[in-house]
Amino acid sequence: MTMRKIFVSGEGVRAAITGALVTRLCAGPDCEVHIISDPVRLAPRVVMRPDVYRYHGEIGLEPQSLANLPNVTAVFAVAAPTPNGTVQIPYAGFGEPLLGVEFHHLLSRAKHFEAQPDLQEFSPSIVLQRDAPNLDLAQASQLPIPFGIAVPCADYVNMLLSHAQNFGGKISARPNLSVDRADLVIDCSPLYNATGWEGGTVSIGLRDSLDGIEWQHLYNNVKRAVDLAAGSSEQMESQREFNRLAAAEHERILDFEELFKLADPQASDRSALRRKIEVFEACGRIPMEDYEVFGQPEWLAAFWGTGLRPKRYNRMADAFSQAEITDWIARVQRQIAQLAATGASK
Amino acid sequence: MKAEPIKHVVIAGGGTAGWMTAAALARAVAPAGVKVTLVESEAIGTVGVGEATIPAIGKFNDHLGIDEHDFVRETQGTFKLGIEFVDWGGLGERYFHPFGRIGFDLEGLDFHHYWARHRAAGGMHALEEYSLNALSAIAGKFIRPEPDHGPVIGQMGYAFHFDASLYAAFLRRYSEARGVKRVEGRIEQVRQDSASGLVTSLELDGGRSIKGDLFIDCTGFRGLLIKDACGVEWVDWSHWLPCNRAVAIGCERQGELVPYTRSTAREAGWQWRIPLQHRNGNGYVYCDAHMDADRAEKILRENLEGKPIGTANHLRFQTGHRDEFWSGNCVAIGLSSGFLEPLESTSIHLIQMGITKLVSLFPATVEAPVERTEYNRLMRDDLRHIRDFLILHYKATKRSDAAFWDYVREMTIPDSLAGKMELLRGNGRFFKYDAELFDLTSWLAVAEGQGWGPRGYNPVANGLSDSNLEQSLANMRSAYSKAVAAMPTQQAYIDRFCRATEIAAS
Repeated sequence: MTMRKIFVSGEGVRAAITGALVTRLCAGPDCEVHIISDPVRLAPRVVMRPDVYRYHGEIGLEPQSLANLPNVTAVFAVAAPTPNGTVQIPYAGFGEPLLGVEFHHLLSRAKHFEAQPDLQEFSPSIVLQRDAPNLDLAQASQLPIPFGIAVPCADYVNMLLSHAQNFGGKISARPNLSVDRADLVIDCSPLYNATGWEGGTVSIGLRDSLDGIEWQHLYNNVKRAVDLAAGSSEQMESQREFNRLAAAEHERILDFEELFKLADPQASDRSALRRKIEVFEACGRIPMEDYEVFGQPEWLAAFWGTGLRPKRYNRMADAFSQAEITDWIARVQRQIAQLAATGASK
Repeated sequence: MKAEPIKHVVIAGGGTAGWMTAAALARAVAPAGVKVTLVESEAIGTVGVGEATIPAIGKFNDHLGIDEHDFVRETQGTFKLGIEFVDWGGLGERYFHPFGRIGFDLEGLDFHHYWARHRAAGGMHALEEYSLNALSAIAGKFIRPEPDHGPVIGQMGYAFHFDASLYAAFLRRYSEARGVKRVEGRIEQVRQDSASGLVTSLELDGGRSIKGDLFIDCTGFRGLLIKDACGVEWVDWSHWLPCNRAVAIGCERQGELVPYTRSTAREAGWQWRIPLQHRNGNGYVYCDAHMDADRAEKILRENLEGKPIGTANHLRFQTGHRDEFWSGNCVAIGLSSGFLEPLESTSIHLIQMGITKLVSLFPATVEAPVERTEYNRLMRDDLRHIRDFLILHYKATKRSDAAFWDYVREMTIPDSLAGKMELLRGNGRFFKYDAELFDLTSWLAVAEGQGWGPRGYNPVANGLSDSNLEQSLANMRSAYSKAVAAMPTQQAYIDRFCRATEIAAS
């Protein structure tokens, strides 16, 4: 379809995030983008995963703009509440692999010959989040580790809407507009808890069960919607593809959430999650599905934090001597301590 | 026996699959105390699957610590920048499937949308004019991209052509130097535990017996372990990929050494030409429902570029795969596990995929049901993705000059492929599965090359002004031209860095 008018509607921060992206990608002489941002539902802050840097690049936002806002902090790991306590989910991996053997296998083997700290102590992300929780972006960017951003909603919304206006976006009040006049409506109202495309409306919504995941879901699906909504001949095919991708991604998010909900994750009736758990317990490997949102480090942290352990480590860890492994672990410990000290001194 | 730890891996069969597996296990698990034995018989010939590869083979060799120039030198190898397809979309047409990227993305949007917009406005420049690989290949140029070469040459991707039997011999030396034991012998019987069905030993000629804990079936199409002993069924895909015969022959190489494979569609299949340092490899893959072996050989010989070397080798195969790739304590790798015909040079890659997954899921004990199930799932997914890409080549044809082409053009295709083709043709949209081997560049090159390319484009591409777009595209073309002009020919590169010892071409 030819998109001459696009409406973006929804709760403040969602509409602003979506609107800024849609405006930057689509607004022009032939296409109007209207953003209907309702400020009533503003949450105190929004957490965005490390992909936020790509997002800001795509909307053409200068890094300095964000740095100028008050109370913007780097996020290295987020907390996931479980029935048995809180689990920290890091954005970067654990330790360093040794000649291709993942660190947690080395640590598991090392535990056979001497006591070792818990795996979490080998996550630079978790250690930094604990020891230097309020680093600003300039300080964090000096550390060699990916991080997301936590930003006060009201300031961020104002900045994004102003940015969208600079690129031709029209900020509108809901009562003055009828969505019937739009070629495409992207509705990111929090009333929705499912994402799908039906008729001329793409609905995007997800409960923010874990800091940052709602933002990621929104970002991924707005990109897909804009990518697929273009064109003239095969809208049904585009809708089917959007719904297929959104549903697949949502399933992977639900798998992750389920892990934290159940006292006994193995009791889950979600087949992909069960398979992940089985393979992880059997050999410490984490099978990934298509359209995963969470990376291997996040799944490893989630499994470990909920008490799941591999029955054995990777046989390749046996290729190293005790001394080699001990030295390697000590080296990683030193690196993380140094990183944490650097972070704490900022 | 089921809970016994894996102490001894026995590989049945040498050839490319056997020795690639042996080398990888020698590198990965032998240092952890696992013994590796390979049984092969010089009396049994090897098929020598593929002499052309895709770029992933570089990672395999890197992981083994093999120097790339040594490898090329030892295997009479050449570099491969992609595949030229001739007469596939229609008679008289050609296109290039490059291994590197096509164009530079602009404003966060894939390049091909801008290219399609430009074309819709009357632009005459073909997609290939924005592919460094395609331009270099046709010019006979090659350089190995290094980090300081900048973003244009950095787009180049490459694989290799090589003599598979020399590669196997090269890996044999590598493996034996790292403790793999080679046993010369003919396998006469596969002994199994009567209760569990697990393979316990290979009985060889002369009354010898090789016991093991984990057995790798690299016996090729025979499937001595996976089929004959374990009884695993074959999943037939010949209704989608109907070619089931091949005839292969070498010939003397004429003219400049080209850095690409050529695939020429013929009456009942297609012909390959693979340039090596010492000869060209040639073959005709065809469907025996539409052509007999004598005629296929005659057509192949008529289309050789140089004097034939040796006798023609006729092969039979069936496209598809084993229902299980890993059954009990037997893992099938290579032709014993599946075959998708060599159209996109995936045969050796399928070996590599099997090995990589086996190493990653290497079992602790003889019976490992979780690892086995996961391995089978991953392999099935990988094969399905590759299958769809191969079918695209047949389905997206306009040819109507022979019954074979009528069949493939009209055949019903998997839903997974039908959806992808529609999206691609509509507005150039492509969503890759995470584990999918071939990416947007590959799908786009083949679809466009065969007349199934995007009709529209993402209107986000309209965000760039006409003059900016024109200038950006002109800049890219200019940058590619300059890069190609500055490169050495492949022959010069090989002469300087990795020229093979001259041997008799046969």
